[in-house]
Amino acid sequence: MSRKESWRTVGLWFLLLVCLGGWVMPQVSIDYRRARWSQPEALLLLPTGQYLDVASLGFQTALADTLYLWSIQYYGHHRSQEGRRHLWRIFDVITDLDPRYQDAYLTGALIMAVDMGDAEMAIRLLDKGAEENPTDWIYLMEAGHYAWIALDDYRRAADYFDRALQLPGTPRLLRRVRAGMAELSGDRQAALALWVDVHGQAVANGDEQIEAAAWQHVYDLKIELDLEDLHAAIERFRRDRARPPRVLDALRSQGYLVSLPSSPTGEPYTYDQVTGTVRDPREGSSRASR
Amino acid sequence: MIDRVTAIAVNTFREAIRDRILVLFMAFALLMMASSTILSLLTVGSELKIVTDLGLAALALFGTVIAIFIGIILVHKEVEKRTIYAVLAKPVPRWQFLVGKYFGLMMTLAVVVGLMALFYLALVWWKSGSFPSHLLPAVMLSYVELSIITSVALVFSSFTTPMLAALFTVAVYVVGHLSWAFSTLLDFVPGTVARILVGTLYYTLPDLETFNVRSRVVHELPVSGGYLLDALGYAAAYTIGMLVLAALLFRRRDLT
Amino acid sequence: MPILRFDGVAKSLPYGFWLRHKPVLHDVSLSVEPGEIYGFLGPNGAGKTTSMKCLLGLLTPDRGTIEIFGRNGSEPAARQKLGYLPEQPYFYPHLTGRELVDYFGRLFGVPRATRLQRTAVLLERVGMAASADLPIKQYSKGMLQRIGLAQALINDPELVILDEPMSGLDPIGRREIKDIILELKEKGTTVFFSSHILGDAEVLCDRVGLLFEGRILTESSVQGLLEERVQYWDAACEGVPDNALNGFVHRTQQGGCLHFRFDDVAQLDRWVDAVREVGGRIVQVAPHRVTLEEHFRCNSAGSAARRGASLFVETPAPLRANRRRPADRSRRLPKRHER
Repeated sequence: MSRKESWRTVGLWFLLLVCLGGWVMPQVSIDYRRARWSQPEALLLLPTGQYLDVASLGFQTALADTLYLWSIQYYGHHRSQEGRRHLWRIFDVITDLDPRYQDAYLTGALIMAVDMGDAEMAIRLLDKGAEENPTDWIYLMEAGHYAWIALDDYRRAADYFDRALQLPGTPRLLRRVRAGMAELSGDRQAALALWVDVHGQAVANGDEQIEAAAWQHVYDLKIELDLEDLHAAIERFRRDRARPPRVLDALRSQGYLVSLPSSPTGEPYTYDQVTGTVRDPREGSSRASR
Repeated sequence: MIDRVTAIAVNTFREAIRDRILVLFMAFALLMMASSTILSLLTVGSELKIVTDLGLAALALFGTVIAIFIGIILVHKEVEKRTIYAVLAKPVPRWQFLVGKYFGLMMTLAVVVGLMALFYLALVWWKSGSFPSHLLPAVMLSYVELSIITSVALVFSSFTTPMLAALFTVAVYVVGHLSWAFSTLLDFVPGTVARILVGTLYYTLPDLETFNVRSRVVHELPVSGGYLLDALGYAAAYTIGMLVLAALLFRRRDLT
Repeated sequence: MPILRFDGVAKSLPYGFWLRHKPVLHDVSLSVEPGEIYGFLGPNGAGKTTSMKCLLGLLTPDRGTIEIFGRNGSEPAARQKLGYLPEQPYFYPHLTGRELVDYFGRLFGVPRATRLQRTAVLLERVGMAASADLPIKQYSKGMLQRIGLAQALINDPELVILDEPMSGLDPIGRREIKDIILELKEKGTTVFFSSHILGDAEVLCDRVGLLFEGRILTESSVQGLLEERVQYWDAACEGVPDNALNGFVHRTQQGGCLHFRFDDVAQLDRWVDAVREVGGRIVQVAPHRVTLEEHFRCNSAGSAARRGASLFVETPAPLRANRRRPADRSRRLPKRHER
């Protein structure tokens, strides 16, 4: 290559660099302008899922992926009320396009519940997921989770967990969570039954840690319930006879209780006939003093 | 020099415009626009929107297809059919051949896009009852986008086979429309090397979304003059850059 | 000063799937003087077209230099006074012949008025005036060749490069092209043309260069070669009485026509006199010249000659090039310009 040619090559590369500068500058300016266009305007124009379903010409899942990727980037940055208005629509469209898109449901619900503080919306999305995927427990479990954590609605949570438990493949943890939910919602009878169930399974599986924990729950619940029953019966007895029964068995023989409960370990409850209070036989004097 | 470039451009234009395949593409585009009026019968209410949307889409889509097609086929045909031998055996520097070719292609596209745009605007005018001047920026920027796509096609066809060139150009087109992914990636990727890499890609690949104001104009949102100027400046610099690159790649290429 | 000069030009080209480089031109050196017709001869695959592409700047030589009008061949400006007809020309199918010639005229920067006038003259000259306004896609091969010749002459070139100008043409077409070449020579234009047919060169060329496997084997004047190289004469006569020419051995008899073959001119002279004497009529006297090929075969000794003899036997090029030859060097005959 001659010297002249080499210089020309250098010149051309230099020109290319100048052009690079020439297009980067307006691009920076354009980026700035577009940032101020604000995305929600663009969201406003997002067509409905049904439309996109047709328009994507068979590439629904790819389109759903793209939208999903875009939306998590978007909500990584924008936590405005403006964004919130479109949140439902975006994930509705994504899951319309790909109704089995688990990540979209779960992440969508997470953004709705945690970032935007709208657990009802999250549950609505998960409801949709459960409806579209009737054999998948994850949506029901997640919905129950948000009902529990974000809404403190234990009954609703318990209801979701119950439905989830009917599906195959639920994790064992869920039973415990469900039992806890029953406890939290004040349905101790159900909680007891559930914990007994959990305990039984733990024994069967040889999981000692869970067995011990479940036993603790069963033990506490059983005693709590028994003591309540006994105290209620004693109270009725006292109203009728103006005194507490001399022995506990009197409650059964006088027809105040169908049967006399015993502690989970099978020991009889200790009874103080002076004060008319029943105690856990294992318990020290501290509890009796209340 | 100007005279030679003009001669090559005019010749390219003549050669392209007389090709029947171009007419075929245009017929398809016009058919798609016309069919949008029929499709709009299926909806309730947003008839005009469908005509507007589909028409703009057809304009951009067929414009792109035609740009890639002629940008690659016409250049490749010169080599394949050895017409380029006769041209370069004249005192024509290779870069002048490329530039002439480019302007010829842009002339062709101007006619093609112009005709499609006329048909489209007339259609919307007829449907809406008033001249849709708010759509003009979108139509114009569609053409500007084609100028970039054509220059990219020219770069690829200056050193590789038409199949690969078409593939690469389509890839650049797709990636160019996903540029937002790069800009968001830029905020997320850890490590300097990765950031430099992503940043380089973001600033060197064409940001074709710049020229997509379709979703704004159909809802009659304004596109500012400053934005249009920026977009034009961007396209001009990018196009010249690509022509320089094509010249660099083409100048020493052996024409076997 | 030569108008065109190749000096040690070598070029490899990629081939095959892996684009390995295969040498096509090993060492091409030749020079063309102003005003002559130079035949660039060689079998298919010898590298004629590759050499021409190097000369036109379509390929960049790996080694060596090419000078046109004393300038470096890679400069576009060196081609201002050069006309080129590609091998099997194919031009923009949707243009008309007139548009094409005009277009190429513009590329040379020929002013409009001159261009229009010259286009008309050239189209007339190559016999394309009638079909000048038809699109090129409707042209036959011969018409393409003619329009190609017209475009090669649009800048009134001082050097015309013709790549296989006569291939694929019928005898009439070949005749016309030859006429045009000779006409150019008369005007003082230098013509450099390639061919794989020796007959063309014999008729036209002042000098020839023989290219074989990317090397110039010999460069020599044709005129000198032609003179004493009449091998035999074919002669025929009719209207002679039986046995009148018994002194001559006649080969065949067709109707009343007797055919003879003579090895030397003296014998022929005697035969002519004899025919005249007996009142016969001479129908044909044709010298049979040794072709360049035969000449080459006869005059070169050793292995190189035999190699040269197979020169015009068509062998697939890659096969030949891949073979290694120990006797490679011996084939390089002395070249004219190596003074």
